[in-house]
Amino acid sequence: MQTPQPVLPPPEAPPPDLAYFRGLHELLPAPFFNTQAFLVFFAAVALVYWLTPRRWNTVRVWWLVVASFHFYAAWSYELAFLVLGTTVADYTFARLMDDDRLKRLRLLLLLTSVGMNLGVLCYFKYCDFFLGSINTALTKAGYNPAFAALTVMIPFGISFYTFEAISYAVDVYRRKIRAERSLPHFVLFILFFPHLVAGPIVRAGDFLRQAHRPKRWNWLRVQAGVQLFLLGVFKKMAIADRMAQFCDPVLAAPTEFNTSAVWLAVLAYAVRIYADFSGYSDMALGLAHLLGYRLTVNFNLPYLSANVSEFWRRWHISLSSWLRDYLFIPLGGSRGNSFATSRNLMLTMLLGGLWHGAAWSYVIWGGLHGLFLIAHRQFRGWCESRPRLTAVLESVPGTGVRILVTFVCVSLAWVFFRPDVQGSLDILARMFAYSPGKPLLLSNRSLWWTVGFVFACMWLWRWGVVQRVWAKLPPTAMGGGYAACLTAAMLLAPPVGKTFIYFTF
Amino acid sequence: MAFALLVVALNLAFGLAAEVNPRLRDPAYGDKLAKLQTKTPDVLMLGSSRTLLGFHAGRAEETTGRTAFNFGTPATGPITHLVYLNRLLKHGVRPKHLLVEVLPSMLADGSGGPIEQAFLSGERLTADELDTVERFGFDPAVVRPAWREAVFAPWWKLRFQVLGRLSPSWLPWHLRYDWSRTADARGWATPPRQETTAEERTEQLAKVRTEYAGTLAAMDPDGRPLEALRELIAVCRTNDIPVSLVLMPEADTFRALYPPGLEERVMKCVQSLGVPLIDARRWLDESDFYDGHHPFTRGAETFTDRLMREVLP
Repeated sequence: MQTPQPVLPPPEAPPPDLAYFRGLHELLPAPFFNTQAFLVFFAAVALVYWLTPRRWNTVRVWWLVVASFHFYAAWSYELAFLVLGTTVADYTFARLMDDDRLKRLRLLLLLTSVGMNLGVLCYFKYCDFFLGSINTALTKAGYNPAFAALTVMIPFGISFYTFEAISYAVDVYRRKIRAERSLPHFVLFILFFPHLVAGPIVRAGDFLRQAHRPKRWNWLRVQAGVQLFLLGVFKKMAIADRMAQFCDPVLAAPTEFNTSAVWLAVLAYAVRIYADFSGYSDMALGLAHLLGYRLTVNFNLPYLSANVSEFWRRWHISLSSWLRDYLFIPLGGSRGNSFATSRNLMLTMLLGGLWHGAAWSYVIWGGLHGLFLIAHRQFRGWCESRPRLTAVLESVPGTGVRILVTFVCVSLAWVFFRPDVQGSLDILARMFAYSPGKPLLLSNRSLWWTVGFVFACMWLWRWGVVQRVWAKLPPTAMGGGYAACLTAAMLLAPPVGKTFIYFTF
Repeated sequence: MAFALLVVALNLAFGLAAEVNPRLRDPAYGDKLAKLQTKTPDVLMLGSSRTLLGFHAGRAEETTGRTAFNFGTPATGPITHLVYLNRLLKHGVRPKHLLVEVLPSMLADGSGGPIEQAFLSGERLTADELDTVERFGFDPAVVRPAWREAVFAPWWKLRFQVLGRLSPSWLPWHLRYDWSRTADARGWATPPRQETTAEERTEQLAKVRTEYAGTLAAMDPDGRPLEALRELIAVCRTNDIPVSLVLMPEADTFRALYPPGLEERVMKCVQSLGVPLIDARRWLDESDFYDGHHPFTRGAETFTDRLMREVLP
């Protein structure tokens, strides 16, 4: 299976200038799971991994570390060494924190570790954003600032592994877990290639326990891994990339399209983001299963949520639980009065938005979700004294309406989930004021079929129909189902594959 | 295990079916072949989209009483026509008179190879046709991997052909492969518009200029595509098929894109092939075209009537 020349996340990586890494780059030009090059790489890694005797678990761990490093270094060896360096530093800080002789320095060590990680994140991801914002503000105020943007290359996955490293340092500081003694095991926790690029954000306590346990070959696990991987491939190639054909041209130039085309493009964008990221997560989970690891489930039918709070318990679960545990609760959570809780929610969501991308539009996106969460909280409190209304809302039609309203709110917020505020405002203006213009470039019918198919699958899964039928199928029929899934993914893939949206975060 | 076997079986089955049935591998050719009701039409014309829209074979039959067929397919030139002629002969089709359109821009040959390479991709070819196209400048590093992918992963490589048949509206126009299927019983595609506004016309001409001006400004017509045309003529002679070349009508606005001297060089090259040449470049008026080189129905009728008068005694 191959995809047609996917585009690397911007900014594109220059070809490495050392012969070894240049060769590596040619072998594995892009960190995409659904490419022929990656599948060859993975097959080689898995083969050596499983041929290594079970009792040599440390050798297996070292092998995965080497493979993961090469996976990253094929894209940029300098940044691979940077990630490796910060990981070794995190390992050292945690070991020192765990040392009883350095009790007094624990807080300092924690702050150093968190500061280093946030410093790296800020430098690579946010430096240009802040400099650009200051530049714009000063220019508008009539000054002529002399500094220019740094235009540094953003290491892919930086937001993900930075959060993993921070949660590890905090957990060690809180004595929730002991500092990892084995360097290769710790490096694998950060660098493990199935989750390195775009999560799920794993917790040290969960991953390291698995890394220490020698793995036994298990056909059921292989089956689960292949199933998840194929599901992810299907979501990415047949749905996400197909939806991109509808939404990308419209979102790039909204003023050229008519109102209904813009609404349909926003709908397509909502489906695309879900299929793209959950497809990637499914592939990551599947690959990890094939190596004997279980990663956190990241999505649980988020578009069937009946309110925005539920949406955040079902969407990007590893991030939302991270934000809850390491930001919202330390800020005071919902322990204070209504204002304090609303403030904490808003701060968490604003920072969550900024985590996604270094642009004001992502901050606005986070702010909108903060507002939705606050509004929902207030509404829920208001409903508590109105049992009749609550009963109506919790009835089947009422739940249907709540799901629809939540989906519309989330979809409207997605308009800001791109690095261009003015473009997002143009889209909204086009949506809410009738405007003539071009229709969608492809037939609306295929859009509705795809959207209908996605929602039908989600309902069937929620009602347990898929699980019940699947459990009763004989192995041959299941194999046929997988084969059909792969064939459909290949058949429905558009001419040009797209970068995973979350690779840019 | 069942999964792996089924994936292999599905691909093998489709790969074999595509080898046997040209409608799966190259619907542009296969669908036209399926429409061909006689193996010995009096006139058969090979050509590009200009022919597809311009040669109204049904009308030719009505006015002359002779069987005619339009085998025009978009974005084709001498190399594709040679491949198609060989296929037609292999399928037992032997026209009594063959007309072959010469699209000047498709005679361009450069370091990147013939222009047709961008359109006649490897997955549309069979194994023995690869040698043919490579002799005329197709890059083996491009065309062979595409062909291999079509053999080993046909559901991937031939997906537009399949989807274009099952649900064409799911694909952008240029990937639907339904140009031949949607043509009439004699292979002629009705022009999508019969009139254009001044604005649309300006827009279309600008588009045409973008597509053609660069190629025409830099091209040398005496390259490998011309050699393919020479071989096509040789194949016709071997099979005793009379052949004429046709330079299709063009509006003055389109001909203005030719740099000085190019039209004369094209004429010289084509005349050197030693077969009758029908020079129809000035047969139609500016208003007969949609975009300067694709005619409306009235243009197609005028062209067809005169062509048949010139070809048939």
